[in-house]
Amino acid sequence: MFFLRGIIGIAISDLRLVLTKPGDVLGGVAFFSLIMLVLPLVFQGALAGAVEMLPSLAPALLWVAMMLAMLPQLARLYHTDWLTGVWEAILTASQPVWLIILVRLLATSIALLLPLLLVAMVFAVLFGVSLAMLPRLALALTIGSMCFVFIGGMAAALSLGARNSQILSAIIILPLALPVLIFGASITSFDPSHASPNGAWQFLCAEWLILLAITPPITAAAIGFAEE
Amino acid sequence: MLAMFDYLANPTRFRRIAAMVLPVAAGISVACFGVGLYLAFFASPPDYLQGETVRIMYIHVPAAWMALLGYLLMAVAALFYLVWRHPLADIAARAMALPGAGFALITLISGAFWGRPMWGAWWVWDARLTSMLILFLLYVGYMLLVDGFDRPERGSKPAALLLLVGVINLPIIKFSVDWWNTLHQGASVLRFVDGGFAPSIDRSMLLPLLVMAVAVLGWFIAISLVRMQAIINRRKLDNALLHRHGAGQEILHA
Repeated sequence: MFFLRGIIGIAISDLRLVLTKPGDVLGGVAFFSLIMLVLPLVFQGALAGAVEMLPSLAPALLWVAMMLAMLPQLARLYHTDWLTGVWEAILTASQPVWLIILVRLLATSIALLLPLLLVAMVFAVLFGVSLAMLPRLALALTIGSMCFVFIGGMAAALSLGARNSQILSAIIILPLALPVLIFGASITSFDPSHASPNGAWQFLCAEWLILLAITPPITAAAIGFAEE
Repeated sequence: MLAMFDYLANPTRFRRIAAMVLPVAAGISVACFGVGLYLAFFASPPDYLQGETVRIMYIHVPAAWMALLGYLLMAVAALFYLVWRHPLADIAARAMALPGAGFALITLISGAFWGRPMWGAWWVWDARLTSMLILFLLYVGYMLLVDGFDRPERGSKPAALLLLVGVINLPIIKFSVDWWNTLHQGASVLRFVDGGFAPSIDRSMLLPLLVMAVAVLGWFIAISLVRMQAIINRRKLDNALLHRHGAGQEILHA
C-alpha cells in the first residue's frame, strides 16, 4: 500500500504543478486554436470549394493540430526536472523507475490532453463534423494523443542535456508518431475505399499497448544515462 | 557471433583485421561496380513495359537494400554496445550512419527520377516511398542525437537506445503506410510461387542487379571501416590534446 501511495503522490503533485502554472496548458490550447484557424484559411485561398470540404477535412486537421500543439510541450517535458534534480531523487527511490515514469506519463496525459480535447471538440462542431462522429473522434484522439505523450516522453528523455534538445526531440518524435497519425486518421475517414475503421481501431489500440509497454523502461534507461 | 565479436573487440587486433579486410572489400566493390555498371547500362535488355528507364533499378534497388541493411547492422551494433559496453560497437554504429543515410537518400532521389517518367510524378505518398523517407529521417535523428552533446561520448548510449527503438518501430511504420493502397510495384526479385521463392525477373536483369548489390555492400563495408579508423584516430588525438591541455591548466592553477 505504501508502495502505491508514494507513486500516486507523485502523480498528484505533477497534476498540481500543472494547475499552478496554467499558462503552459493555455499556451498549448492557444497554439492548437491558431493552427485550426489558420489551416482552413490557407486552404480557402489555395483551392476553390475548400469550405464545402471542411466537414470531411476537419478530423485530419484536428489530428495534425493535436500533434503540433503537443510537440513543444513534449519536447521540454523533463527539462526542468532534470535541471532541478528531480530525476536524481527519483532514481534513488525504492519504487522501480519505469513505474514512476509510467504514472507520470499518465498524469501528463491527463493534464495536457483534457483542455486540448475540449477545444478539439468545439472545433469539430464548428467545422460541421456530424454529431454521430464526435464520440468516435474524441476516443480516437484520446488514445492517439496518449501515444504522442509516450513517444514524446521517451524522446525528451533521450535528448536530455543535448545542445538543441527541443528540435532533436521533435525529429525523434515525428517519424515514430506517423503510424498513430495514419491509424487515427483512418478511423474517422469518410472515404469508403479506405480500409475498415474496425481494423484501424485495432491497430491504434495495438500501437497504444506497444508504446505503453516499451516506452517507460526505455525512458527510465535514457534518464539513467543522462544522470550518469 | 559473440566469440567473433569478442575476438574483434581488441583495438589493435581490429586495426590489423581492418587493414586486411579493407583492400579486399574495396577491390571486390570496384570490380563489381565495373562489371555491374557495364551489364546494367549496356549488356542488359530494356524492360518490355518500362523501356530504358528500368536501368535506374540497378542503382535504386541495391541502394534501398543497403539502406535497410545498414540500419539493421547499426541496431545490432547498438545492442552489442548497450549489453557488453564495448566502445568499438558504438564506433561501428557511428561509422555506418552517414553511408547508410546516403544510400537512403540515393534511393529517394533515384526513385524520384524513376517515378517521374513512370508515374508522372517525382513524389507520391506511396507506402514504400514514405517508409524509405522515414528510414532516412531515422538515420538523421540518430546522427543528430549521437553528435548532439557537448561531450562527444555522452551521445553514444541514448543514440544506441534510439536505434533499437527505431528497429522495433520500423516494421510498424512499414505496416502502417502499407495500410493505404500502394502504387509502387511489388517486390519482384523474390516472389512466392508454387510453394517456393523464385526470382520473377529475368536472369539477364537479375545478374546485374546482384552484381551491383555486391558492389554496394563492398563499398559500404570499406567506407565504414575507413570511418571507424578515422573515429578511433580522432579520439586518440582528442585525448592527447585534452591531456596536454589539462596538464597545462594544472600548472596554471598551481
